[in-house]
Amino acid sequence: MKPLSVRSDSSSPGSAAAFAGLSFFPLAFFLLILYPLGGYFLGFARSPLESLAGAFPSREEFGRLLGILGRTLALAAGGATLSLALGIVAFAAFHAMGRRTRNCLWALAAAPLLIPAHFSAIAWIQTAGKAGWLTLAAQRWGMPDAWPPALLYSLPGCAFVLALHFYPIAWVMVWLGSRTPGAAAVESAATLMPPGRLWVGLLAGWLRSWLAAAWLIVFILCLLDYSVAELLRRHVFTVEIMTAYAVYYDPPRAMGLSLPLAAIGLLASAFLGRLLLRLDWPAFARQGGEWPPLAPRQRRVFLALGTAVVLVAAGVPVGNFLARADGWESFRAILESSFAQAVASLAWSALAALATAILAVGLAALGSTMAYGAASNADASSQTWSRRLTLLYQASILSLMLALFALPASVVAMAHIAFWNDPALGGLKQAFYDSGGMLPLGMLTLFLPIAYVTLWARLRWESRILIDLERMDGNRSLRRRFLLSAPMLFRPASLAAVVVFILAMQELHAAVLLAAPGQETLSIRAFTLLHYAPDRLVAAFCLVSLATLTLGAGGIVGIAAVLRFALKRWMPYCAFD
Amino acid sequence: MPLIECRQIACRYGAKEALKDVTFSAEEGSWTYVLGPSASGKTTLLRAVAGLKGLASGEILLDKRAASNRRNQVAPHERRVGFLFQEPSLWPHLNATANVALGVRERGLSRRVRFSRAEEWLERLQAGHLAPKFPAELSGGESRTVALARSVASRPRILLLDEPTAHLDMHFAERMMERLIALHSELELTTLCVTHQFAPPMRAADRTLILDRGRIFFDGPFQELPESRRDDGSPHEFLDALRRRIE
Repeated sequence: MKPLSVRSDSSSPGSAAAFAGLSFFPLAFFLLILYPLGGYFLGFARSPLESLAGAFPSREEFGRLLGILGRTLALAAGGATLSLALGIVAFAAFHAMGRRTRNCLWALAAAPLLIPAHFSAIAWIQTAGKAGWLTLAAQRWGMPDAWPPALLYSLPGCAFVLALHFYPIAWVMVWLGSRTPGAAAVESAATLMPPGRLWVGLLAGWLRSWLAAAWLIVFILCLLDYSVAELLRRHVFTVEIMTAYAVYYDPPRAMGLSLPLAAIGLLASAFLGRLLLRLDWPAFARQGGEWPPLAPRQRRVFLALGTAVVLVAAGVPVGNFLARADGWESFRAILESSFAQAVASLAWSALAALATAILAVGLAALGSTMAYGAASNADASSQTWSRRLTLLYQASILSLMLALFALPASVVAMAHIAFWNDPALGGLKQAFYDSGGMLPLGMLTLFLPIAYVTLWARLRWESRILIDLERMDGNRSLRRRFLLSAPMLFRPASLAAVVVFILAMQELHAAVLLAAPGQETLSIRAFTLLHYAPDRLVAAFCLVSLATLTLGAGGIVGIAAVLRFALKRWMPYCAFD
Repeated sequence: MPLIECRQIACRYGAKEALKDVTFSAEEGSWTYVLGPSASGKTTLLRAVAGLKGLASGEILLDKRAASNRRNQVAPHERRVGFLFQEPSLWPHLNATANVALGVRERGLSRRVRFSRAEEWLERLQAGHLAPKFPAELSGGESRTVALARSVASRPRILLLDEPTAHLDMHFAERMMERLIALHSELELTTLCVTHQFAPPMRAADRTLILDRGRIFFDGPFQELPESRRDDGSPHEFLDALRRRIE
């Protein structure tokens, strides 16, 4: 009888292919992101006292900065709480609709995320500022006209604008959480209790972690916001850092100032990481139970509230721009005054955003699949050290991603400037510094975590049984990744590409510092126009930018759909997610 | 007196008709097995009786009152129905006691009383030791027992069982069926039980419904199973298999 041959598992962590794959992502991640950032922070560690003394030179200054920090935290907490409330209202309103209506309208409810935060701020300034619609209307009706600007140019006003921008994040998190319990749990509860009790007693309890994660995400985003606070003249910490760096050009002081913000962001991010690991991420794909309908009166109330939220969040900015732009004249005026500049900023923004999206999704796909592949291989390994090492690798990458997410954009930009604007390496670095590559690189650092977490969340749903079956069939690690993970990652990768593209198009904070001389992004140009151009031109430019952004995002969705179609034809045996 | 009456009911999932022209009634205190091949509409029938699935046509009466028809749909929690699902149906963030306490529905009870009632129900099903455990810590059979305790804690008049012994080992499945039959007579329940287990308890059934392609193929006592041929003359493999198991 032929003896049973025992061969070593070709997909063990030690195999060459797995090793090459495993090492490329960390190498690229280290060279492009960690090394510049690490060097910057190490520079601080070499002379911490100098930076801190520069940031907090006297007791009075320390007290002033403490006040600003308190204001920043209050703004972030207020913005997060309000957007959570709005997100819950939007979720309930959507639930009150029929499934078809819901499917048609979800894009409208998510629209505020498409509108850059500083565009929203501009729209609100044009609505409730000193010469805004609301203020003029109050004047006309003989009402006191000071309250709209007073309310807008205040901390609650700023929190309100941020909450209107970020509430779709809370809404999506609540929706994902509501899908996780599974149909049987929801339906068995529906046979036991009325819908109201089911919603309040069970859904609220079940969603605790989701709500906390949504709150933390929005808190971090509000904490790191620069544009809205700057436009509404609220002196928060990000504005203070930018002033120290860009106005006074005092890098050590800017570094010292960024420390408290980075520390708070990292703390929030650590809590967020803990929650993300606890959440039931299969939510992305599982067919969740349909929550029982609310009582007709509650449905009407939530529908009215939800419509109001969407109208205020998306309708006010777009409606205001449309009304202000006042016909084709304004659009023509933008093009006539500086046609080349307008087109260049459109093209440059779209190109930089596209490069960022491709790089971020490519790296994230590589990093997340390799981290997961390593973990599944190590699970089969008999060596404890190998298992521990791969789990450590996986955990470290995720922690680093969350840490990056919590870093202020100005810190990222300053670190890249300090690293690349360095005469070392025979001017190679400086050549890159002068090129247009700085902005995509900075934005990659900022948005890679979003792409990574999106793909990581999907991979957590990967069936263990499928992996084991593939292993038993003797498929090598890379083939296994290709067969199982690549098709599965197609949809989340497309989603991540769209999200990163939109965020990169909207980026202002890092773009101000990283855009090469003469290169102006849409955000920078809108920001500049606001300070000298008439309102109608600003409104027209914002509309053109929004159209470009929407077209770009739509283009990526279209390309992804065509690619998916082509892949399905090429591999008809393979179901793409 | 019939407690459940289904009159020519039809249910659809999009274009697919899961139930067609189904008419039957179940007497108060009766035990009815619902059998049939996969995708014959067994679970849909239970969901329709529970009010979890709307009807495309027909009517369901519970205790002589219209519970489901094209115009009117009584909410599931108002039907006094207990449903034991085939899939895991416990809330993962609540321990066994809290899950069972969801079923204790008497008004005006304090949280403590509800929890102690829930523990009593667990004790009654010999699962008191599971009280502090969370669903992730329970085995398949244990979660099914906790889910059963939750279903009966609401003191339903109708108990709907969807494959109560699926994925359980023989010993546990036997114990589960014994418990269910004991609860059925103790609480004077009217039970509809979808099952694939062709074990002796089935012979004690008052009645057996066999569904095929969304229609009732057979309705009557178990001993009177019909010929294994459909109306169109094609062989009925499910019935053949069932007959072989009984013999």
